[in-house]
Amino acid sequence: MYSEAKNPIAQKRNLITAIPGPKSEQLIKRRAEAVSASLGTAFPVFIERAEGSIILDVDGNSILDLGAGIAVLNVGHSSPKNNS
Amino acid sequence: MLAILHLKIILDVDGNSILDLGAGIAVLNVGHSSPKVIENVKTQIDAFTHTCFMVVPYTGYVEVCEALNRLTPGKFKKKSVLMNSGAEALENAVKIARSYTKRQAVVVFEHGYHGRTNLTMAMTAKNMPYKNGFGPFAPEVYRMPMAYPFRWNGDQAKCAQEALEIITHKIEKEIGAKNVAAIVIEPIQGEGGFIVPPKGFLPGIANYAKENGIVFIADEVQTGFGRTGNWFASEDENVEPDIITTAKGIAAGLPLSGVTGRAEIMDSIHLSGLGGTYGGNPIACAAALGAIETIEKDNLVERANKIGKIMTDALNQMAKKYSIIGEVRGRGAMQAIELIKPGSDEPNSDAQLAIIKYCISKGVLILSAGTYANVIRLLPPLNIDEELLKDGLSVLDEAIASVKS
Repeated sequence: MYSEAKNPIAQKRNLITAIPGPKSEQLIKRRAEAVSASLGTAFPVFIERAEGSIILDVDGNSILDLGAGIAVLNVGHSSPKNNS
Repeated sequence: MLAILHLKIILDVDGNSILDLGAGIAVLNVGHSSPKVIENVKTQIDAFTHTCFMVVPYTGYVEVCEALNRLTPGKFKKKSVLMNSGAEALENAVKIARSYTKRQAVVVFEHGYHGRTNLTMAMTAKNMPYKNGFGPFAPEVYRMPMAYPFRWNGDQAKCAQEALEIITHKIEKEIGAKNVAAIVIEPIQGEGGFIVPPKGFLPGIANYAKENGIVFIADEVQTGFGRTGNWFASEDENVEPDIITTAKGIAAGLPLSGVTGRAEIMDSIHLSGLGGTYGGNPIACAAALGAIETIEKDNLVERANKIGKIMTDALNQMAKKYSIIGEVRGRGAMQAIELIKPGSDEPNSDAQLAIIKYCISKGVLILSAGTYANVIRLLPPLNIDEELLKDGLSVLDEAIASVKS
């Protein structure tokens, strides 16, 4: 389940499938079976990894994140000091 | 302050190796620095640290919910939500039960502990240190007598039956069963002093809840994840709670908790009614999947019974020797002694302090508990080496011997 990375994620928006893509669609169905329906979803894809302001989803789409996890990631995704 | 943690030993900043029989209060069921937990956490940190599950979802959250739905008791369809702490899980369990039943009253028990937020302080029994000066507390919380055999005022042999009669009477006369949203109980009370209710009590409460449309919530924060020799303590008497709250042992120290319950209850809440910025954080979920995998692969549920037997054998031997031990009780790897003044049932909190102090001086970490501050509780990592555990128990034996009775 965890990506082996680590090619840097290009800091640009790039969609290669419709949103959500087929892999996210599968995971959305799987989620509905296990997680309370009360929980909302702002952006309906499943994340693979993220860097800076770009979220890479499980279908390979690069999504521009203007929410920063609700003002949590002020230093961006995967800020180097996180994992040093 | 700790410098390095390794397995069942805490190495302090002065180079002392300390035997940990508390496991961070039943959090480190897989031990300190468990390899699969560390591996999963490191991998997750390299991928991403946060999105908020309600903003952009991730697989780890779903996998933890799937594991909770599979491992918790109850042969019915279940769903889960994840939060950060045990208290937050309890808060949400009560929110869910109130919304589902459209009722308000919450029934809790003497000696119960459910957390330190405003609602969970109201649900917690003990004033000092948990509540004193922190009120006012949330309303519509009603406390019932606990079936506590060692301190039962009636016929000890009929403790379960007598307690059930008092509780159902009080609920009907003082609250009205139709006003009760939830009955919340720890299947074995933790902070209260490892109080094990007599057989029949929990099934009796669960049946009463079912007959009256009340959501039965088992708070398995301390008893969960193999601690009592079952995955969850409710299994001991085949009790199937409508909702189970989990935390502590779920993620080996990363902050995570869960609310798992009947799908129709969990799905009844309006969209976006539940959630939170950090609840089910991806790093905590990765740790949980590592901890759960370790418990399963290393048969730690079974092992809890094995080390539990070592503890009860040793503690029962001590009880024969030392008149300050009033009772040895617990289940699996959750064992305690209640200390009394010899020849009475008067709580002996001085002995508790002296024993803990002695153990500290010898490098053994044991924890206190109990409404009367007179219980010593043992919560070792479930994979502790037998010799190490026996070493700790021999220090406990010396500690009790050193107490003047």
